[in-house]
Amino acid sequence: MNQHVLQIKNLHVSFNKKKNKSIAVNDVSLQVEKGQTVALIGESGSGKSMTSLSVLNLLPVNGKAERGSITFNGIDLLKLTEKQMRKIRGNEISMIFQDAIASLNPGMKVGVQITEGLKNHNIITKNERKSVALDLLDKVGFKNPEQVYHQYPEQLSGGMKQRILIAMAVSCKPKLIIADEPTTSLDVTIQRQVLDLIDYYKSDMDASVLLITHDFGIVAEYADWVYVMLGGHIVESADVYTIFQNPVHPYTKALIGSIPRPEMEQERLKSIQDYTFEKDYEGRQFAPETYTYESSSFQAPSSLVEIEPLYYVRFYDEKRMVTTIG
Amino acid sequence: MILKLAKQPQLIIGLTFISSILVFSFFWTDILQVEKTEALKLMDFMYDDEGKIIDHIPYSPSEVPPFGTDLYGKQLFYQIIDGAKYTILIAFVIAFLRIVVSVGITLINPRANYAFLDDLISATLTIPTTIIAYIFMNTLLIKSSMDGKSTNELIFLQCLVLIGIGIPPLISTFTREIRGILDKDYINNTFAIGARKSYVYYKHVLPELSTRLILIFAQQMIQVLILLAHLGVLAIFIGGAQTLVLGDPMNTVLQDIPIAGEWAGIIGMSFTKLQAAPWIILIPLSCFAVTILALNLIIQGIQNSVEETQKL
Amino acid sequence: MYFSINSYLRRLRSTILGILIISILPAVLFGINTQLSEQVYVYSLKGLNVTRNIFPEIYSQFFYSMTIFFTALLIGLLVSLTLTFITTLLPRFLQRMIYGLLTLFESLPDLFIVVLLQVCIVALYKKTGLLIPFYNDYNNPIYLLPILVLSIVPTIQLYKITLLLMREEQHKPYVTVARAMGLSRFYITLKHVFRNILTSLLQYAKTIFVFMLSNLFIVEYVYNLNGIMSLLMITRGAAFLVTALFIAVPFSILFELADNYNASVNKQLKEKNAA
Repeated sequence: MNQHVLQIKNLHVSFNKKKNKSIAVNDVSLQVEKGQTVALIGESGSGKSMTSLSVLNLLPVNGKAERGSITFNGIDLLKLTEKQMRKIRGNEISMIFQDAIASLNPGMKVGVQITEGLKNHNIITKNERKSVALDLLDKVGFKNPEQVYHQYPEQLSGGMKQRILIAMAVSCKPKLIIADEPTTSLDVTIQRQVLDLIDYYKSDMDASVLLITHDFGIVAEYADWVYVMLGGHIVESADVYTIFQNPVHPYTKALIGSIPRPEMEQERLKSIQDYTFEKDYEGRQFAPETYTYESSSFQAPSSLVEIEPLYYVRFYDEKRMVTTIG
Repeated sequence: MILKLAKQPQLIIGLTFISSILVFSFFWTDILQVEKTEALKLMDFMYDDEGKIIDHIPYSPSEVPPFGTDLYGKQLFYQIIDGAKYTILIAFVIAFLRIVVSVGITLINPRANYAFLDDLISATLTIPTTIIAYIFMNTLLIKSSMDGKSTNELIFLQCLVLIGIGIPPLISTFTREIRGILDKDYINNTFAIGARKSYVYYKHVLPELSTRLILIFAQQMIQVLILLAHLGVLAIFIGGAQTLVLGDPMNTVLQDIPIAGEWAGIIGMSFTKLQAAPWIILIPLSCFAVTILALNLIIQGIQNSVEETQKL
Repeated sequence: MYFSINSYLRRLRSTILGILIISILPAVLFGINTQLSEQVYVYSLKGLNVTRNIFPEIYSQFFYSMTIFFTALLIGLLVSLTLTFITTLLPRFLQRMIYGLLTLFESLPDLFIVVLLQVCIVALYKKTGLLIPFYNDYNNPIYLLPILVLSIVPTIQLYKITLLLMREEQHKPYVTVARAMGLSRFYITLKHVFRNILTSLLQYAKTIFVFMLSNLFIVEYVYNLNGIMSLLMITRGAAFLVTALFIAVPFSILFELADNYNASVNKQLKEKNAA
């Protein structure tokens, strides 16, 4: 069981803007084990996408993974050259992006795009291209792959595009799939179909999935292990049952509290009010304990504490800052 | 807005350049301590210390620094400085009036479709503006030489032509822009609470259009400058030309000399002698180029600041 | 799809009306009859009182100008695309420098470029004896120099536009997706980005045509070429109209295509935004 496919240790990612440097990911450690689905959950801007992009070394030009290590099957990905990295991308680790509509080249036939990775890694020859593409399209649930093969992305719906992207991602049979909010841009009705596809592939190929999302509902259903991220930190990590039954960190509580539960009579859904950002919008760093924006309390030193075996929660080092509500 | 614009270095450079040229052009006699008539006098021959003729006109920049002389021995440097104010101000006034008139016409009825304007515009796409301007100006020159119009009258009419040529495309641009603004929801809101049309134009449409207006104004200035240079090459001068009798009495040569001292006139006057004295053409043309560059810097600066505000 | 004969005819009618207005307006405004009194199909050469029929010479003049125009356009396109491709492989600070330089070059009036080259070539000839034919012979029209000169302005414009488009295109999500699949940057630029830029370039076709037509006139005038634009300048009345039509008829087709293409692109954008 203790076979880490991916292990991120103390990762720091920072961005150089014109003058100042902003830290997007701050001391993040996480691991994905073989056959597991690990969820990384957090609001937008919390650094979860940057964590995933740094795994494939695809950070935007001004971003940089500064410290820490990312180990994939024993290889430190941060030390690889661009050429070595290209062999990993798509082949060993592949990624499904959130914006399915913009993630396909509008000027290229779908069938050609699906097999581009295979072709590039020299897994298939030119002649096999079409049959492999049709196979993949069939696998992701298209009823008439022959027709879809010749279509351009604009002729497909959002859900279809996302399935194409999944077909692309699994085409080279990677050991790890990073799904970066794969359902955000989709209708609710299609979300399940897409997630099931990813899940099916995972169990079929005995691969692992790093699922990035902000939807606790998805996490509850598909994930084995959960990391909660906030403002570049991991604030809580545990297996999915523990975290749902007994969330400790107030932010996790708030997230779980915001899932609508029709069977429970509740006055009002909880929300994190954002008028507090109006004054000074700066990367949404705020102190969840008080639900207010106060840089002093946010920047107070904090550390992850193992409160039970394998159950980590981030606490402030000084107790005076901690005031739990609710 | 103004504060933000002041932070754009390109804008500052462009504005400083143009305004300093203008100031220099107006007060160069005081700044350089020279007499205007003395500086712009004709120098037929160049004598050495003993009074022997060593060279004749035109003198190259190496002989008469910094810019040499024109075909008749006038110092090009002083001509350029003196002509800068006319050139820039003509371009400024024409561009300004083009915009004022076309915004005015558009605001009379923004929803109107002027069919003949579309015809004109689609024709101007195929016939270069320079040719159109040439046709008009040429006719005007013939007419004025027949009627004996005064220089001021001629300049006035020529400016009218230059303004009129630019108006049709501008009206179509402004119609599009203003309609875009009028279609916005908040305008409907304002009308819904009973605002008068003039109030909406004055309070909402023009302010929203203001940045675009400045941009279009700078672009128009560039276009007018280019058009002036082209017309100069075609020997059409603002203010018309004065025919000078040159050469020795046995062999007179009639030469048209532009009356107003703007740069296009300097170019046009000696364009036929391009190979003999290329500097007379190239130096004023570079002045055009530099002025246009300064205007482009201003445009770039404004665009940058607009983009920055949009990003925020 | 992008072309309908009806709308083309409407545009042509509009253009002809416009040309008519332009050719009559000066006479009406200034009250002299120089424009209309000229005989049909006859023009006078300025200064000399020679009248000549514009037919049949106008055909050769037209084809001469169009050969120069389209060869220059093609050269401009090829050169600018090659340069863009090379530029994208350069480090970023060099890219920025090139972009700045291009903005500088764009400020140069076409007249300046044309005249400067003229002077340079003559100076080159005087110095080294290297002869690029620059003087136009009536029976033996020159091609090389006007084509080269005319291609400079579109090269600069296209180069700048493609660089801008490239910068925009390279940050689109599908490029990241392609990179995440392990494709090399070279491959992505060539196969994905470049193809998409080519289609976006069509949007600027009209602007570039208009600029080049104006530039063609200047080139013909300065190099004293016997082309359609110089004919347009010296003809009056009906002859002017016929000459203008020679340009308007083919170019209206191009403008029509460009406009319709833009309209369809804008429509797609609107639908996308609405969705």
